[in-house]
Amino acid sequence: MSFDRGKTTITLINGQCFVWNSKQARFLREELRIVGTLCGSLPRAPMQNTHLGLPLQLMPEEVTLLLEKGLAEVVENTEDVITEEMKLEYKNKEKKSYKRQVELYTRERQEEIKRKLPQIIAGKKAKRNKVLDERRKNGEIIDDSEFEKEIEMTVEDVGIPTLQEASMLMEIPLACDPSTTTPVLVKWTYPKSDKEVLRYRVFRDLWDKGHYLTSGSKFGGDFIAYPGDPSRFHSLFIVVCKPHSASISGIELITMGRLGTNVKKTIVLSSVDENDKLCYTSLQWTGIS
Amino acid sequence: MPDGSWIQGKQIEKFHEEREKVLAEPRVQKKCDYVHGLWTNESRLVEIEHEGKSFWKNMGFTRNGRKFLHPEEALFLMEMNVLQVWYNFLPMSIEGAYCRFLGPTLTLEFHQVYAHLRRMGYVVIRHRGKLASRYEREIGLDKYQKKKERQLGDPMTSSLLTKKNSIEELAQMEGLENCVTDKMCEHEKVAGEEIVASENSQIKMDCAASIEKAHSQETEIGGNEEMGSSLILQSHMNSIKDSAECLNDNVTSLSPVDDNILTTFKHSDATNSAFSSESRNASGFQYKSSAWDFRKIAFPNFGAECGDVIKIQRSESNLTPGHVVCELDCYDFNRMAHINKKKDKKKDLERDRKLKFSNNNSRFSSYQNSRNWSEYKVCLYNWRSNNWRQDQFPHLFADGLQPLVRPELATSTEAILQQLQVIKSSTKPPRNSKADPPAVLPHFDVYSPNKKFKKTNPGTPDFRVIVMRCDESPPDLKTISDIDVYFDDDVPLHCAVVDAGTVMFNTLSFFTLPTEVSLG
Repeated sequence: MSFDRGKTTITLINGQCFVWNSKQARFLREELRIVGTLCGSLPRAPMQNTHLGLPLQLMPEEVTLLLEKGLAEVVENTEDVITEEMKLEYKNKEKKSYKRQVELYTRERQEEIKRKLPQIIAGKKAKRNKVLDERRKNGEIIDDSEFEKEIEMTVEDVGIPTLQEASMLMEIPLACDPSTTTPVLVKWTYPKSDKEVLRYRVFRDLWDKGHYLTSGSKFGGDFIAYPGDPSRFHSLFIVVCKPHSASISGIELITMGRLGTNVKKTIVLSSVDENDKLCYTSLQWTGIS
Repeated sequence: MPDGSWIQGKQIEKFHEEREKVLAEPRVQKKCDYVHGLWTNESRLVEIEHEGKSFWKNMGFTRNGRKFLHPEEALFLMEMNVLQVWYNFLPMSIEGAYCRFLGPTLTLEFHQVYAHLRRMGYVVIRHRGKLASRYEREIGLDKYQKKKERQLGDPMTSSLLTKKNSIEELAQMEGLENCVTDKMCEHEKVAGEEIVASENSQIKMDCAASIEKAHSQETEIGGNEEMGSSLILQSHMNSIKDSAECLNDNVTSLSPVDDNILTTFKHSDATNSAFSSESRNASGFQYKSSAWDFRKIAFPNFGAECGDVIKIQRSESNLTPGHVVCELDCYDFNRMAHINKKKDKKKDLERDRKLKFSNNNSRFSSYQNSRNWSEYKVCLYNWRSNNWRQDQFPHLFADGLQPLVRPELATSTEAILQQLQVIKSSTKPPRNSKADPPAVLPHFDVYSPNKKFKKTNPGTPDFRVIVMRCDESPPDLKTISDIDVYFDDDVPLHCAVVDAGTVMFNTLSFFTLPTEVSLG
């Protein structure tokens, strides 16, 4: 099965959507303002939570938007039946990798030896002279010219131990090997319920207006809207989706207003009105006493 | 705010460039440095060939002599570049691991919370159930569970996440618990009354146990050990607040113990059965009462003998271990040769005694003849109330309006506060060690980074974690209070809410309203 390589591949695993490619992750954020959440550990510094690595987990709204724009496809990985050839192929691959590593290792060592050849020769000379000195002390007659003799040496004369197979480098790959798994397109059904439809409408509208949107659960809302890339700018709005006719209790109003003030953001109540138009209401704590 | 300037655009571009580079970094390692594991779809576990030094201390478990890792552990280790997992003779990628590992035994949220806590350095294990009751912890019995639990392997493998299986889960847990309590009973037999005796409130038992210990040891090693144990006894006495004053009475209060021993041990039986009755019913374990008849054993009477040398009669041969033979009929035990060998220390002790007790002799003499600890306490109380009579401050108690705290009740800061308290602060349900397991159990037990951590005997966790999705509702307050009552160990319960890859923690904890205490 062949896919459009220009599209971002979104893998559906257990109902959640992931992007596994760093180029695609960058493309989504830089060009499409789709932020997502990194949720793996960073290979360089795995024991911390401030900077995380791939995979990039996407909100369902983000996936629907990308699909509507025709910029992505949702796939599910299905295992191929593992044949003997595949196993053999892997073995060969590993062997090839080993051979290549041995080559590279040897070459690197040679370069190093070449750089350090003068030191090596000086060292050898010193060692020889020490032995000669010792023999002279013991009564042997050794000509002074023996001490001055040069040692002829080339790079090849220095032995290089071969790279052990156990110490060859291996990699834990991030994404699946395309030769052993087949991605299958799946149908994406979000949004389904009324609440989901409302959330998606709001998401889409705000995205169209140029905002960067992330999940709002950190601040108790549906989304958080950033004016620019979240790495450089603070968000200004907490978006809360409410059905147009749903009543809001006084206590809820106070809760939201207080929260918005405390985090210096504006609460945006968003809904779809009778004319099927999106309607935004901002809520702020006025502090009149 | 974004202003569309060239410099801002450049900065952001640079950021994206670097980010892409960092994200694209591979996980590379020498082949020999990897631990290799095998994934099996059926067990949904990863079997490892050899234990990695770095992680085996606080991860994985052994079953039938084979070493396994839970999928979340394996996935975390793969991300840490430590473990290479093989499936069908092919190495697994991290994406492949996500595809295979996530399923009925591991949800994504579960893994994300696990990895989040692990990355912070915490030791995270799947919830093990209730390991020990409050009483068991207080007397240190929770440190005595060993092999059996290890053999059980992993009690929670299959039922971890599915709430439907909770009945099964509970059954398993109960099994575990029984086993643990069983274990403890066994240890009890070995450690004997000594452990029980460490409870301060039961000083009587203290004396009895120490004396018994002293007795069994005397024939074995002579007087040396014995004096040691009577020193223990003294230190027991010391550890109780009032007992410093009681050192004089020590001698007198010990002598009647002989008579009381039988009742004392009955008492200890009762306490034992209090905490093990639950499991005993289930497992059919019967607690054996002591085979020793203490009425027939002649204990050396340290209290009555006043001199420095005490004569100790040879005990009956059936009380000594088989290989020990008593040659003499009577041993001379020089008290002064064993106690306080350093002379200056002895002087200090003597001086202290004089300082403390010489002035109070009149006060103590009235109840010098109290026969045991409780009688002494009663005496002390009576003395206090007699000596602090209202008529010392008659003007205060003359009217209808009287002080809230009577002088005779002011025995400690706590007692005063108790008197001053208008509203009872207890809103918590009463502690009940037999509480039923709650409907929802925590998912993880979390421990602070700790070198001494043992996965076979993890001890009391630093906090427990319940994992939930953003769109799920958390357990209701009743369930949470049930959990609190069930575990009965004041370990905070955290609720980890996961939404689209972000993990947020909230703590749910019961607390009593603080009482202000000013000392002085």
